[in-house]
Amino acid sequence: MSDVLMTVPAEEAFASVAAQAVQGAGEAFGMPGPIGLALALASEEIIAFAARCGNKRHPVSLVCRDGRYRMVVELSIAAADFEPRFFNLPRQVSIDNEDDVKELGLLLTARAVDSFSLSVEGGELRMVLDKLRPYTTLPSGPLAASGTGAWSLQPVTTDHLARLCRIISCISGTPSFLLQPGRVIDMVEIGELAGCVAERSDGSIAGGILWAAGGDRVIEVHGPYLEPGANAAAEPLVEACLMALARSTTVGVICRNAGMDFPEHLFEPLGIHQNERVFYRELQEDMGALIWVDPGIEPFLAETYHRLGYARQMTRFVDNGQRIPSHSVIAVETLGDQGGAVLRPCLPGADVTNNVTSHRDHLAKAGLRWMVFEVDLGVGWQLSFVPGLLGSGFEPAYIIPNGGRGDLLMLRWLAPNGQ
Amino acid sequence: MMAALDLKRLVPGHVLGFEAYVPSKPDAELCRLYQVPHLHRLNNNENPLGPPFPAREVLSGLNPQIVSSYPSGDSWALRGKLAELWQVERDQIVIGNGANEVIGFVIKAFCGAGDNIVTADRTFAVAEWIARFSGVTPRLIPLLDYRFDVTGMVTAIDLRTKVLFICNPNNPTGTHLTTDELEDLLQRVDGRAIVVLDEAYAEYMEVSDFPDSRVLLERHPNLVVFRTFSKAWALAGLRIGYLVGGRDLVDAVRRTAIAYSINVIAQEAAMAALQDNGVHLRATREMVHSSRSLVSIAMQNLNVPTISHNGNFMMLKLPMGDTGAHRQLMRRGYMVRAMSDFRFPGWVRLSLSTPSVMGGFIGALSEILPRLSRVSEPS
Ligand SMILES: Cc1ncc(COP(=O)(O)O)c(C=O)c1O
Repeated sequence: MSDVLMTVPAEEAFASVAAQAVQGAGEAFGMPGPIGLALALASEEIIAFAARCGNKRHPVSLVCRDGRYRMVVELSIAAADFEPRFFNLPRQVSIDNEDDVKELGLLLTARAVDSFSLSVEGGELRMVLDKLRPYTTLPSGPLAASGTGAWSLQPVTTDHLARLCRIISCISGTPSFLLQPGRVIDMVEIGELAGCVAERSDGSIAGGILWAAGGDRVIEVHGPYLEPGANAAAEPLVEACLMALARSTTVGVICRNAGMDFPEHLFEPLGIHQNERVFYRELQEDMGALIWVDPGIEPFLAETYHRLGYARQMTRFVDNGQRIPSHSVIAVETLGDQGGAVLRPCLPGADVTNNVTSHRDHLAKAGLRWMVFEVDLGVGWQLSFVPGLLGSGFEPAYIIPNGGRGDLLMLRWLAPNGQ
Repeated sequence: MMAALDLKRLVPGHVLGFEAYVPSKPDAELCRLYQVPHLHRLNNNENPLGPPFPAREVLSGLNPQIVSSYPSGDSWALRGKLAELWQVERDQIVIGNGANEVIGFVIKAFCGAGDNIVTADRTFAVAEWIARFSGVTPRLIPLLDYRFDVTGMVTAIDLRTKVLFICNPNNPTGTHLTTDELEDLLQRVDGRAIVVLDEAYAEYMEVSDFPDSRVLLERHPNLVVFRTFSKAWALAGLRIGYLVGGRDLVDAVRRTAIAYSINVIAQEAAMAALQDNGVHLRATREMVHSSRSLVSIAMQNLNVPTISHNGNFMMLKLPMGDTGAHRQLMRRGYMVRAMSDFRFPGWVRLSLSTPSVMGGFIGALSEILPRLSRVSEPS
């Protein structure tokens, strides 16, 4: 691993030191100049922000990572001496007030990179920034079958990928990164994507399927993508993916971009993500579970669990009046290329409703068109966010069974038309 | 406060990376969660007829006083009885807390970190699991036509290969290696590795070319055979199984065997079960026969492909996800095994129970077949 690690004091004067190092790391990784520069500026902004809000003596740790198709910078700061509310991306300030523009640092930072995530875990504030390397994108166009004859299933190799991406480019609604063969090859080579193809004896391929290979509990599957007339390969390709993931830490696969060859009958429809249908296939038997609910989502959950056959004993989460911090914290992951964000509860607090609304407003003003808020139904306090979410226009969209400690409930907000 | 456990340092990587097996919850809990009055367990290949008559008698006449003393630490009497049956010496037998425990004994006895075992990709998984969390590499040879691939397995052997695991008949496909095929395999292994023959379902075999492991044991000192009292003998709840092998081989295994791990009731009941005069096994086989033909015909009518050979189970290929079907069947009081985890996505394994239970299962399955295929529209 060629990670670059460094620690600087959280002081304005050191922000530029870190920035120079990040830029230097980008060059050493062989990243195009603008990538290192964008991350350097963003890191500088974060350290300066930390200096303004916290105890200056606290060190900030930085790790720069060569992700081949992207460069990643992770910053962590001990959370102890900060007011938790400072970690909320929008902070409690008005976006229209000129004086507060300075305090929008983190939000602007988030928009300057391709994805940004902020979370508080184990007494540490962690921010992860990533910036993608540019690749050439394939134009879409009609596709003819490249061969005929029998095929057999083979693990994907880089040789197959250019052709597979060409097949993918002819299918509408596929994630844009799959139209960049260079990026897909890089992702397979570093083990972030795995896949399987239906290969003919002459080396041509009838189609393929790709999946995230990180070993997460729930992983994203892309495909199957097939040449015209190769529909018979759809089911075997899905099964090859499921076989490759059997007896692993992965409990299920999810598809948020089902193309025309997607064999829906092998999956269960969960609901709608941003605009696209979400399908799920569980890899392990579900033995039933206890989950926390809020009355506002109970009917949705009851209908969903009944439809999918999940046995869930629902217990209402009630606020017993115990002392909770005055300020809640929400983790945000902005997905620049998709124009949206995923939000997750980090800490409960008395201000959840205001905090949710403030996140929604600020992220919407920053140009994001959709947000998904993820609530883990296996973690009681996370339910305290639900009334605020429902009141702010978030609607229950779907569950991901066993996606967290319990099932994950995804609540969705879409910008009103024209925004 | 004490410092948090540094598990990354304390737990070896091969254990840290292993996903623990989660057994199903107890019936009462499942009935409550799935809101069914009764659950038919058709997922573990148990025998619904219950233990043989002599074992029942022993169990019902047990004097509670016996549990205050330790049992025989090496199941001395039971090994004597089995030695008679197998026509071997008592020391050629090791009893385990289920056949699962003897799988562990064998891997511990022969494999060190960096060694490998060779088995199939789609077979009973416990050997693969024990190998993984012991730092031993499982080499998984794909089944050919749902059968163990003898050539593939032999070719996979190298200097670090210590054990070949063959499940005969195979769980879950029910296919078997014939006497000739097994002889051929043993010849080609030529003593380079231990060959385990897991015969958990041997009592169900009625084909003439099924190997007589007693004869093979006489000729191959690297062969070891596993048997269990959990399946046809219907003593699964007592946890007792055993291995038989050549003297030297078993001598090595005994070093890693846990003394006193088989409780006194299990030893007594297993001894008694062996007194059965054939009535129990005959009734068990008859039940399996009738249920297999009942289910086979029903599956043909429902257009559900099957893999059905030997053993008290069948595989059904459903036109939907197996885990989803598992849930929908649970809601109707039938618990099958979803086979994605056995690398058979889309298949469920059904334990053959009494014909009346099978009738109920067929009804439940017919309900979910159109039902699940209808749910392909977004909500
Ligand atoms: C092939 C095979 N071997 C061994 C076992 C384990 O048997 P026991 O209950 O004796 O541990 C089973 C149980 O499912 C099995 O199917």
